Amino acid sequence: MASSGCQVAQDAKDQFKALKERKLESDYVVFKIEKEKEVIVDKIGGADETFEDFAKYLKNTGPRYAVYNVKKGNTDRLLLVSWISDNAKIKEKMVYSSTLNTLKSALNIDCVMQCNDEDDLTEDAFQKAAFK
Amino acid sequence: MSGGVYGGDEVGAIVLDFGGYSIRAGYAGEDTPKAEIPSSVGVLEEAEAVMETDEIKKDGGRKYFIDTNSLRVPRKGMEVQAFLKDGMIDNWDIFESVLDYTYKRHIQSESQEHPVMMSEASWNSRAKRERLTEIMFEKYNVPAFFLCKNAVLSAFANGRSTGLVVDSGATYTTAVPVYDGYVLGQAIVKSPLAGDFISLECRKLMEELNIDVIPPYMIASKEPVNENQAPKWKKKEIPEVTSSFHNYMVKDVLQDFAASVLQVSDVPYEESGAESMPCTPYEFPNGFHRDFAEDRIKIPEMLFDPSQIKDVPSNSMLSVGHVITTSVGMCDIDIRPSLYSSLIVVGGNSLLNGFSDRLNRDLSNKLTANMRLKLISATGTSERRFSTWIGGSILASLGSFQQMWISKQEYDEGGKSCVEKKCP
Repeated sequence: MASSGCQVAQDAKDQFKALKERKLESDYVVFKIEKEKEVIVDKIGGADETFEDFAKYLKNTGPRYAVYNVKKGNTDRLLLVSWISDNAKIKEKMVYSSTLNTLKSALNIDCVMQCNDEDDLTEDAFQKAAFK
Repeated sequence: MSGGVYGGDEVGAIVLDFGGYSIRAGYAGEDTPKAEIPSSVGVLEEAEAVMETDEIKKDGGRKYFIDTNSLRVPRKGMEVQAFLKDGMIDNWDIFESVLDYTYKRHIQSESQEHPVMMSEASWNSRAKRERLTEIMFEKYNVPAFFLCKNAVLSAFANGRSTGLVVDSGATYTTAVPVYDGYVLGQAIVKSPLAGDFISLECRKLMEELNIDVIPPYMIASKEPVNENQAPKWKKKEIPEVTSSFHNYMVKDVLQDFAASVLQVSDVPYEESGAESMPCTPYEFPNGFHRDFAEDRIKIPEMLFDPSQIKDVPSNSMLSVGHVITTSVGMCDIDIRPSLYSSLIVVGGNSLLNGFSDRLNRDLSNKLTANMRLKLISATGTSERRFSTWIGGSILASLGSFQQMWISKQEYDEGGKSCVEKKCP
């Protein structure tokens, strides 16, 4: 398929694995594309950060990917999120959207949500996407 | 990563986007295409010694007149012909002539020096894709080639790898579902209610109103007249032209009329409401001018309500909204919400005033309340008209994309069928 050809850095896969195996004291990892070439880790959430902190961080950055551990009752599920604001530059939109599938395959994660609008960055929307 | 599979990225790639109205061509990495060339060419069989220079290809006495300036010169016996049919390349001889011309006049460089990224209709056939790949490598000796479905490029350019791309262009209004960057081919829906249909209806309207649409090529001079007065103009000395040429030139006037006068009503059309529609004046090239009122909304209404079309059984064509709901209805129920929440509206015909607003309204009424609907359309005219080209331009300019191309070496080893593998 048409894809940017960007690769996923080993460290990004490792941090995802750590999140999945609950070795991180965090609910999320944020990724970004470095030099239109490689997906790397941008930020790992702090132990006491809330969903609002996470959403606030994304709203104030450019396009990003994130894996969030969405909780509902006693269960939780990892959700891969692409955050590409409709206000982003067309080049960033192109690069991020054409790399999403590569990242999805590299992390081997099925649960994906596209966010293009600040209204999508809510805990409620994440729960719906993760537990549909 | 290696330094580029096709052998270096110091030379820019060329991006070609084919549409029913025009071909967009330019260098990857630039913001807009360098050239927009009509998808129709003038064809003169057994041409005599015409005193023209380049822009023409000789081929057993046949000549082609390519690009706006050359195509629009009235010539005895010149037919106007499109080389795409159903969105796919149909006349390969004309296609190659147009490509030759594009390299010579707009790209101004040798084809073997630049990789080529080309868009294609999402329903393009395997045979045509392979033939195109073969021509690009064998005839044009390109160092690398990539073929990308136009709906995928539009979706990516709008920041989505999943969404429904609604393209209202010249020949068709189509709905193409894209999921994870792949086109779901079995759910593509097409309707002929698009730009050319609007032009045709405008032409019918002019006939009803007894307005003779005189294209500029026939006019030597004109004098100003009052509203609704018979135009005063003098005819130019011109050779006897074909009806395909005349119709092409008339259509051009009607397209301008459509873009400046037509207005899509926010709500379904009712005669009573239409009468209060504000008038818009329009001046034809021969100087005739008058106001248009309810006809402004009657014509585009047919896109949204085919029962308004005269002489056509109302159930034989799909409205724009219906094209969308039919397409989504053919997709897996689990992905329908993600299609409706990313409805990407592109194409020249979608620039009709009020198009997106009406579509939004029609769909909101059809969908259940818990289905989230979001229409995305670029606000700038050029971004909407060129979204496919711009997407291709960005993709082909990425350093990381070098490994994605079909390289000359891969083609030599794998043959034309490699296009199915590398560009599914």
